[in-house]
Amino acid sequence: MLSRPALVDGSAQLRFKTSRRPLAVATSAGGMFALVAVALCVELLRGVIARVLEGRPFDPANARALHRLGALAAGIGIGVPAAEFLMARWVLGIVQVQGIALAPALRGSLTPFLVALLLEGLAAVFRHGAELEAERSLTI
Amino acid sequence: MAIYTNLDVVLAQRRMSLTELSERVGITLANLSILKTNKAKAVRFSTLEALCRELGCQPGDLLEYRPE
Repeated sequence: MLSRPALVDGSAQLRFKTSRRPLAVATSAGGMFALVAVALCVELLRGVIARVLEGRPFDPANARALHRLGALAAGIGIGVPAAEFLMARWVLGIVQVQGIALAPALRGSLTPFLVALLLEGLAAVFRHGAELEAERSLTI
Repeated sequence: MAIYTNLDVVLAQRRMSLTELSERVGITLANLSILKTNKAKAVRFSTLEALCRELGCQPGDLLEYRPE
């Protein structure tokens, strides 16, 4: 027989509608930032793929693009949890829920940092490749 | 880079143009120009061989070391 379960930890989403403009603007701004980040990733990757297909894999611009993608991934890994935490603190400062003690939690993941590390490694490889390519092109 | 080429000197001595040399050795005019203006980072032995053959000279006639 199993003992009575006890809730040790839990997380949930609090959803509500608001007419408060600052809250609506803040959530829209978050969505906009996400769209901009995705658009930036797509554009950087598109440039890398285009140059590879043109037969210029070790173009210095590819190394720069991969480095920027890595920085973006690291930024998302830091920025998103921080923004969610700050937003939650702000909202919970305004919204009172009867009978439940709510506290914002700072939750992060290692995944964006691992992705950033991988991209920086690739950027270093492509940077070295670009140096070798420059030397090769000036080898007569 | 402390290694300089004297390709222009040897070409003048042989009264040959860069274009003619390019056709003879099978290297593009652009690459020969890079070599002539000392912008090259490295020279293949096969290139040196072709240049010496067509210009009738030694590698030492084409290359010079000037300590910086």
